[in-house]
Amino acid sequence: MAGTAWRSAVSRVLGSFKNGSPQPRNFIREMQTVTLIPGDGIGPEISNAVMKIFEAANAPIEWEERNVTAIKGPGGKWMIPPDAKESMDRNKIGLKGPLKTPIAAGHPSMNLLLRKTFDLYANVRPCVSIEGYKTPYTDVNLVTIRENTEGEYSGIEHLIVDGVVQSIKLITEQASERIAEYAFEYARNNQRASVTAVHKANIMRMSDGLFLRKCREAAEKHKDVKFTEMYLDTVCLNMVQDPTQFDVLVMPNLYGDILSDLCAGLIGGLGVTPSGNIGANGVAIFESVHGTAPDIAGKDFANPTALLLSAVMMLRHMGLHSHGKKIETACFDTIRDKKVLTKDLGGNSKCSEFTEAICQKVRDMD
Amino acid sequence: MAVALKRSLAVLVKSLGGPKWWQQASRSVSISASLSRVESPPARADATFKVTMLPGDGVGPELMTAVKDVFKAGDVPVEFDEFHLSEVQNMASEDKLEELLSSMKNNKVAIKGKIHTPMEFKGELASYEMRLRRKLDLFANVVHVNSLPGYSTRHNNLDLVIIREQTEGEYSSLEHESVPGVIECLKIITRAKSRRIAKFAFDYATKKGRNKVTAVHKANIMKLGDGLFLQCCAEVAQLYPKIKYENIIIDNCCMQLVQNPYQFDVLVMPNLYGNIIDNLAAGLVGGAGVVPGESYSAEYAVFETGARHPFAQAVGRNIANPTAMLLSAANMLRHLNLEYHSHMVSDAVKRVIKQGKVRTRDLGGYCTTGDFVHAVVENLRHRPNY
Repeated sequence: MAGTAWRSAVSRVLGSFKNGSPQPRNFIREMQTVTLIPGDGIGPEISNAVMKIFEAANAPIEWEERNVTAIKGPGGKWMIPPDAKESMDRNKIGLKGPLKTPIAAGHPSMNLLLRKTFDLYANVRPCVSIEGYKTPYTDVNLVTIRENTEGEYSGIEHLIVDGVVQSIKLITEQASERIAEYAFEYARNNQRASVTAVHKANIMRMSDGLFLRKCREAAEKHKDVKFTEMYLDTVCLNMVQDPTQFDVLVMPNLYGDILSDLCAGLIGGLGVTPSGNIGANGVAIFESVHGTAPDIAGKDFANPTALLLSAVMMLRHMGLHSHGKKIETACFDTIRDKKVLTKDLGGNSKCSEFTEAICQKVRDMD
Repeated sequence: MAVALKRSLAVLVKSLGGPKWWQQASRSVSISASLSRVESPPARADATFKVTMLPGDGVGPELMTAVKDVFKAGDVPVEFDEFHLSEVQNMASEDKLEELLSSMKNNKVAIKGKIHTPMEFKGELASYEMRLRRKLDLFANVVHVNSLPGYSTRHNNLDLVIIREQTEGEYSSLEHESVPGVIECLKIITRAKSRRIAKFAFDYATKKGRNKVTAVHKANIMKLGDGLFLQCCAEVAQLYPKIKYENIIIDNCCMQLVQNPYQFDVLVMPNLYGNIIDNLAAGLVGGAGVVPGESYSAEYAVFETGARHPFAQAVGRNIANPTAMLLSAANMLRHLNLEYHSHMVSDAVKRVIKQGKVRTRDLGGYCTTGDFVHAVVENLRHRPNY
């Protein structure tokens, strides 16, 4: 008991010496603390599943569980609970389950609050076809990087006269530059060959023109990664005919939202798609993007794949590549074997059985 | 037995050799010809329709040549008034636009290619194509997404109609730089235009016997803008109790289209989402070369391809697929009430695709545009008797 407290104290002290990117695992077994937000609905079940699998894989991760609900802070502004914020700021890495936004609750969506609090400017969604979960599209292997703070989702709308509404799409130089830089860095860190900027600069000449210009400038600085630009409609047209021609896609908010969901549909839906949000100051929150599924909550029917793959993405981000690979391979092997699958993947097993099968595979790999 | 056989053979040979066989054969052909002539419209000179033609950029001119060739071979009573308006080739000016508009006022019907919009702008933010659309008030764009028999894709037997509002929304060309480095682009949604497109969609669905209209939006984020659009659609839906009305968020819609597109029938949406869904759906059935589309206003009808791309990489290489333009031309003939010719052209195109011997590069074949047009023309002559 005292041992773990001592260990977590040491890790906290060590954590304060660390800057943005954590160091890769060396021979000293360094436990890294990660904030875990289980979420609502099926969130707690799948978070438990992920924790179990990580334990079986001996991943050096310590979980700090926090709950996120909207509370009214001083000044009437909606914010997340202060202990959750403090935990995230300290740990820098977070894993989040699905959060529900009640309609007419008076506060903005939880995802929006988190985004604003931690300035999560990039949403990264790698879409890789899962062997064993057949869709009409095979060999999909692309990453969509979406600017998450401005663009069409700025939320600035006015009623000019009765019957005429105006929505403002905001594009700033700073945000475009930041996302373009991140895209090229991601491509470099993950051995990706090319980055494609998706835009509609022929129609929205000034706004998307600015975005495109910033992407071009970032491309100049990163000459080792190939850069192409493509219109949004051409991308959609080609994506459904031949998704293998795309690698990393970077785009503003609305197009990113649509394209990332389109790509998720190509590999099998939101139940198997991982997602990560990168923020300023080295904060990164990885999440599952599906809903809370209140109808199956608590019945052990949930599929933890999306959260698990997001957790694997998190391990990679932290530099723990070997653990990430181990867990990912175990997960894909289990799905490929088709013996123990949850209902949405076409099988009949329970969540706990599926989790146990993955844990077994992970243990066998050691 | 052998004698009987020899005798019958002799009779056969005599009948073949004699003039009677030719007479018989030619008589049957002429009967069929006269039957068909009764259905076809009267002689050319009195009843030629005039249609404005705008080849546009990229492969537009090649596709227009294909249409003209097929029409000539099929003896279609349509004459084209050509105009060459192009922003990239510096052939655009206010006067040309005026000429084009006056021609449209006379003819009311046009067939056009895509006028490419360059990314650099010289003063005006709105491209010529958008200005043309606004001046003619072509508010509705209809794209017919039909799977081609004989060409299988990942999703077969699709039959969707995508209706897109074309004059407002995100393409309002109202942009300004408020502070250096910060650009605002305005998206305008009005009640009048949303109601108009919703009514158009439901009227279209009623006319074509469709069961369901789905509105596509993002009202959970753009609460006022898309919220207004959704409200108008819901209001209009109440006037059409026989048609089922649903709505779906744009990102979910894209996901459903690639997983299960059969749940949709008629889709209606504002401008930008329409652009995305048009191209997505075109990709589902075979690409930009096979999907026809048209734009309507209260007075005019403009026929073009569904997914509008100039396809400049294919210029001069004779590889563009004219299917979309030919099917659109067939739709134009139906609009002009030339039912017979319309069927003739569309049947010929569909037959060529079904046979699968002559296919352009985008459908997996090796033939040129010219070969394809030639095949269509051949199939025109062997039209079945109605």
